[in-house]
Amino acid sequence: MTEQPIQSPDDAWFEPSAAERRVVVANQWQLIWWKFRKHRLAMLAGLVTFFLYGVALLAEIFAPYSAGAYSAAHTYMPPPRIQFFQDTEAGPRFYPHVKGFKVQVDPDSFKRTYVVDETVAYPIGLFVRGEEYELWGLFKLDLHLVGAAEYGDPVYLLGTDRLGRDVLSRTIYGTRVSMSVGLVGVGLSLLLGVILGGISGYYGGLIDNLIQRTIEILRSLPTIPLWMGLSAAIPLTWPPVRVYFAITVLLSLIGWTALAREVRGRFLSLKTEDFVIAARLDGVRELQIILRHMAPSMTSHIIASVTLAIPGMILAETALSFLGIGLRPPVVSWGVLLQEAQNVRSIATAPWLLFPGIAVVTAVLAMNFLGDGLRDAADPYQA
Amino acid sequence: MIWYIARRIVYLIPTLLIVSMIAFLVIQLPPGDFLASLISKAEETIDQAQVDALRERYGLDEPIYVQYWKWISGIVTRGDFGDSFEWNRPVSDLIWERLGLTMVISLFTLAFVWIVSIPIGIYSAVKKYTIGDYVVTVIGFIGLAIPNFLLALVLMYIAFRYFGQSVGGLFSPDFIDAPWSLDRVLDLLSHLWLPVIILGTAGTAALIRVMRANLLDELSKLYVDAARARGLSELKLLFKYPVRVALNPLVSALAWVFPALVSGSAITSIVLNLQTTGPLLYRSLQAQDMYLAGSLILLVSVLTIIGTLVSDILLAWLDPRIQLQ
Amino acid sequence: MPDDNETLLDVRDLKTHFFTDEGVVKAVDGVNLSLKRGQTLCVVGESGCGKSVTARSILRIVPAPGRIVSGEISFRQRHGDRIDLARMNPRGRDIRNIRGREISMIFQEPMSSLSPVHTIGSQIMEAILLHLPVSKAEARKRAVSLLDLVAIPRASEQLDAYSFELSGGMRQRAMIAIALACEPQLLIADEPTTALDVTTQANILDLIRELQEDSGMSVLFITHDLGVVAEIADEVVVMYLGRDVESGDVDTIFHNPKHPYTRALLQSIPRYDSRAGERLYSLKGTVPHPFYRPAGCPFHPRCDDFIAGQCNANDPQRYNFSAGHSVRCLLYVADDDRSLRDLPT
Repeated sequence: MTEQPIQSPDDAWFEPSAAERRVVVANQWQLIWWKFRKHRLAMLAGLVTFFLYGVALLAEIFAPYSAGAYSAAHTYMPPPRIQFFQDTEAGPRFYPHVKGFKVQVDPDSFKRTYVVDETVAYPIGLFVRGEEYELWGLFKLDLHLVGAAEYGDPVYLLGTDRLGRDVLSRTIYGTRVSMSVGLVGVGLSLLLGVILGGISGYYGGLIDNLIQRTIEILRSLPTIPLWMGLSAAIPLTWPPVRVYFAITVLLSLIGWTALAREVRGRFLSLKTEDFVIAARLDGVRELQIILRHMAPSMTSHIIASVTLAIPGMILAETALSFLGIGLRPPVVSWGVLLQEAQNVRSIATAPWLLFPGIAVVTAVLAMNFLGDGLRDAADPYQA
Repeated sequence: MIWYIARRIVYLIPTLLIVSMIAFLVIQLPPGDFLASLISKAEETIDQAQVDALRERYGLDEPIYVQYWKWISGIVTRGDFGDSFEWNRPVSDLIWERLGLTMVISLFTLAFVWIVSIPIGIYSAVKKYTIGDYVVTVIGFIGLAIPNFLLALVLMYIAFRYFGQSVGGLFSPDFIDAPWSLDRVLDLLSHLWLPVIILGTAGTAALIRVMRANLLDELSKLYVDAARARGLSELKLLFKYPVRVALNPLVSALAWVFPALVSGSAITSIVLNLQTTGPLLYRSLQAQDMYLAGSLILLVSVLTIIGTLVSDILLAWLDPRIQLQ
Repeated sequence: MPDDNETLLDVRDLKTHFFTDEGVVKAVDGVNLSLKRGQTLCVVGESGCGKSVTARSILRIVPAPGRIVSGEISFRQRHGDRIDLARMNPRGRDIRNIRGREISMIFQEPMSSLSPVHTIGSQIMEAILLHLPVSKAEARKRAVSLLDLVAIPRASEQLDAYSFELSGGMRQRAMIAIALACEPQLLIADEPTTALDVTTQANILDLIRELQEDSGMSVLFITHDLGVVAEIADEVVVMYLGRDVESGDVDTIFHNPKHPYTRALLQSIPRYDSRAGERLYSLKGTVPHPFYRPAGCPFHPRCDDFIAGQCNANDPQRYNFSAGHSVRCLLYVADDDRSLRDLPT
């Protein structure tokens, strides 16, 4: 038969187009991804967040120096200008380098100032050999992403602090602590939030009332004075790791309320959904209903809320450490680093000490945008 | 309405109770007997009779709930918050002016936040997806991402570097310890703008987003079309209906904006050296001057709780649906 | 433009499209309708056929990103001049003087068409004060009598009630009171009874009919309920995918329908005399996705009388059976070699 069959009206129209079919069979996560992808800014923010956590994981590689390395001869050194070309007789040649600094001492005030020394050029490069370190306590390496091409040259791309420590390296190491405080703190909050919010939303009644009142009380409290009061009680003698966990516990003890509200709200709206009622009428056990039927519809929302909660934790840790009642040296976090810039005088001497602040703003901004995009995409079935 | 307010006030009691317990916990948390640290700090030796008197007054040998009871009943019945060991004065002598200034700063900031965020939020919603909206959104996000203290540092640096001024403080040097007078009030007002902007930035950014989202929600409601179909002009329509309804969640946002302001002012005040509760709390915590610290936490918390109450009542007045619930 | 004095509203080839990021949705794509003074015109069709957008186009309150792309909406004003609403600036003063004064509209959900934070009275008085030169006190008096008119009990008390304090039926009565505040010539009712229960629905329909008889206004009634049509319509327009597929007076449409879609709609009404166990006719398929309009006659994929090669290729033109009864269907196009096929009713 070569004759073209007459197109019956049924399949002519009602067969979904290829694009439609793709949408019909796609699962929830694919739909979320498609919707999220449209949100350009959130995509970018996602990449930045990913990069920051990458830096946190591989701080040793990203940082030119170790966090504690110092050089008494190079205190408060300003960031040098990076030059990519050098003028030679044969014209400019590609030779990335920074100019050295000379120290000048003012005869009257004895104030030391750095002056660019045009005669000295220190070559810089990518993947250079430097200080040895152990990555994750496993591999012995001496590779650094960026730094002085020759080991030992005083190259401090973002300047140094009062003890001659490299600001760039310390900010990179600070990423590890600051970003993970957010993650651990939110993890604990999530645990509290999901359990209490879930109980509250699922059972309702008296328990719900009790938990809601508690949340209201906690939310009406000024968090920072409370955090200050509680963290001041952390003994000075505790080792850094224990202080770190104590701080995250403190942050999450007050920070779980937002997540609990979100979970409760979701639970309440899902509880009356037909598919949940249907499951209950079919005799599915309560736990099964929660885990198999309700949890999948909530996960995306929870991920979005978690992403939005992390920046708050980062900001809180930074603020407390900045005041000196959060994390303490020798731990390196962005807040601890900003302690160096606590008054106008030190900022006026060395404005580059504010660089960790830029890291804070970048991280918080990225995670806010990311969380916003995720929240918009979290419900792909809604127009 | 009166019943509604009465009910809210009754709800307040357990909240206050819990807050006082938390504050008391803060007092109790530092390791060791604070009398011991008091004795070790004191310059001249304190005779045993005095120590025993203090022991008796705070009930240190008695179980914890008795201590709590002595502390809280002293506050409620006599306004006695205990003594500050560092200042060697009653706590109540030290805190009231600072609490008042905290209140002044927070209220001014609140006004600033509202005055700035409502029009911008309306603009952003009405002109959604235009360049103006995107600019507002991005600036808002940045405002949310900058920690208060960092903004304070940067502004102080700019003022120092480019205007050669050292900003900070709430009063000019002449007025710091002067008694209250009209000149002192004016001096205070002229110093207030910097902390208000710094404190208000994050709140403004947050409220712009809330306002925009609410208004976008309301703009698509049928009652807007219905009012338009009646022949109302676009501008009148906008302000009489959707903006009016969208303001309600903004009022209820007070419940968390106000605590956030009071809370944020603690750090900003330390950086800017303002004579509010923040720096006093900070110092008292460092000196383990626990009765002062605990009282400050208690009072600042009570302040925010009252703020929340006011916002609830305001909301009930604005939105007749609330009172029914 | 029609020049007779009897035609109040005449819509010619109206097209209202929505320009979304994903593409253009042709919500209304060539609608014609005409409404005489004092009469009731029902626009019928499934959800998504563009009947609400047609109604909103007349008042120029189509939500963004929709706009009228072509066509004419000729309306005869109170003082006799005809104007084309389609050409007016939707935010301008001229159209605002029409809205609420000459043409009023009530909506599907009385729940959400009243402001949640304003009293009923303030919304009625607003409509009065906008268009009539009266004082506040007079407006209030008039508002009370309007509530009386729409049979809201204890009118002067209910004036200060909020919408959430009223039942659904009472809310719709309040909406009607607002709509009638300035005695408009035309009332557009966009499925005003859909969200109400059956008894309330009947009450509201009765109310609209009574008010119409008393005031002599015209009513453009949007509905998907053929039962409602039978009860109140003088004229009927059947819409499918943004077009009028058949229009005529109510008797013709019910007793001598020509378009296969109209027939299908009528067949799908349950009847008293149907036997037990008899299956109700149902239209096959659903309204297609707005981005994928079928070529040719938009109804062809669901049509029982589909002619391959014809219906999916050619756009049907209007065919007038008699004055006032027109159909858009290729079954009735007189070709040179094929005589008109009239189907048995």
